[in-house]
Amino acid sequence: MKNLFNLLSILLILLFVNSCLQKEISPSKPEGILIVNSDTSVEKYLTIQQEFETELSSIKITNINLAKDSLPDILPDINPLLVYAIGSKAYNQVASTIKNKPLIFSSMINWRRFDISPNTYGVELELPAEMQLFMYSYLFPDISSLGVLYSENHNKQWFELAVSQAKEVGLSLYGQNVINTADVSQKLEELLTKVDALWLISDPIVLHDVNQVQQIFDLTNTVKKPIFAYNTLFSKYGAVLTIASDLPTMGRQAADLAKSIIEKQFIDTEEKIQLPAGSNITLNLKKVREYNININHSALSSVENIIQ
Amino acid sequence: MYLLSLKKYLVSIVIMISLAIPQVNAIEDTLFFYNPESNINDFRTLKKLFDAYLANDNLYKFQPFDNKNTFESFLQQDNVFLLSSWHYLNLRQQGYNNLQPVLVGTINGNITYTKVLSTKKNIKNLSKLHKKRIASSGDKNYTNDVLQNMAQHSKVKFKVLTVPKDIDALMSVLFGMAQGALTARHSLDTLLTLNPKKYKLLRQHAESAAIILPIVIVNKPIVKPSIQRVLTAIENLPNSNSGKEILGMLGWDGWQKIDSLEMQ
Repeated sequence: MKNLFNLLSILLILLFVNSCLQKEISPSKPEGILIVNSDTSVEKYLTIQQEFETELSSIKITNINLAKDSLPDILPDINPLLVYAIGSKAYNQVASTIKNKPLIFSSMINWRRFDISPNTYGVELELPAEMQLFMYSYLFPDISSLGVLYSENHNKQWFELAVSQAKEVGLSLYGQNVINTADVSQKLEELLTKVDALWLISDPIVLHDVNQVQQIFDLTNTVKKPIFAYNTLFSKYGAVLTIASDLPTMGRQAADLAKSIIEKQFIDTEEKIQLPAGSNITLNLKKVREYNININHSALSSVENIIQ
Repeated sequence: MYLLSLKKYLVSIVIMISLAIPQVNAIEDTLFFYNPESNINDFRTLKKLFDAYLANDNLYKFQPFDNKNTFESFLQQDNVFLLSSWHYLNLRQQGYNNLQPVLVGTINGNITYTKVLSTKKNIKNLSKLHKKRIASSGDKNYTNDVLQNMAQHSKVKFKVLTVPKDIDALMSVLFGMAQGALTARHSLDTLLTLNPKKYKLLRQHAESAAIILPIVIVNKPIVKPSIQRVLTAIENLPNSNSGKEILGMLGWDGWQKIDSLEMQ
């Protein structure tokens, strides 16, 4: 009897150890989504994540905040169906550590500089130039010419394409190639004599540092010509209009991609990496009045934020 | 001595607060806003503009909502409400019979507009859009309702991608982020005026029945004189620059007085 009891005890212990080992060694069936956020204290990253989670509230979601958590520490405990990386830091870490899982990205500046596999999906950060040009002509019917400072090394092709896109909405686009950061002021002064407004684009030579940005705004302000910019940050310098990607819409687009992957729906090649579908427009009405610019009131329903 | 001055101090605070109460009451009346036909992510600007406008009469504050249930929880109160006509008709069906429409928005003098479903690809019928993404600035329920009416309640299911505004929906279909766009007819007209080349790339497949623009409603009968004053202030929006800016943000350019019979 005693022997039988001992044998049963040993068997029970073995069963328990085996179940523990199984838990550790063999990963469970893939389920849910792993969100890897570069830093949730960055509002724009958090907004996208929140919208993504709202859209997929019925799906199990595990979050990792790289500002606090370590991805390799958490990986052994999870087996997601797909991973959503928010920001470049998150994308780089996920791409190098998690293989053979569909990977969705968003909030990466110039995604083309990263390694992209056939199993990668995403939402771009930059809005198409055509969308911005359309809004310029819609909001400001009296503005017919725009000036762009750009460096040929970074934006030659972009500028050539933008010239034809501007024509489509009845705008003339004039460019000044900036080779050296020190030339910006002189090139800008020349440009401002020809155009009604300045279109500020993302260019590392033109927007070399904060002082350079301030100088561009000061010079343009002296001739009372408006600046249109690509990032809401320029509003504080006095940009009349900024058009940026709408963050909640990007979250919804990423969620839609995730849903399609989980439901094994066919995704067209051109849809795998998408342009942002929504825009967020900030208009500085104070500057509009100061520069005495005519504005199309019926276009105001397209403006999200107005600075009074 | 110290206690006495403290007492004086407290008494004066109580007096100050009691003097302030009537003023607080004066702006307790609220203009509530909820519109599923448009997607406004950030109400701060609209609220700021409206509050500044209504502050001229020192009467009302503006309270926008992005949640239908929260908005509806205030409907029994003696206040002023700005909502979509579609929502109002739904409320009537739910038994809200005490609401009285007073004003309706207008665009170029018209109180109605239509929604159009456009695609870039040529499709034979709407069933080809089954499980395809349709970009719309309206909320999901509203958009699905309009689309289902267009598809004559067939088994076609649409995936709605909510975007901030009509122009985003049109760009989404032009640049391949969505297979269809549900937008107001006047937004397509704007595209035609500003970029005819892009307009020609779109194919229009269905158009909704006429939709009445958003309306202003109150609980009947109007008892408080302040309600009538705010209705007048709203009606006068097109007569000032700041008012025009508010209407511009809302998406229409004027008002027309209505009686409840027109909304049956």
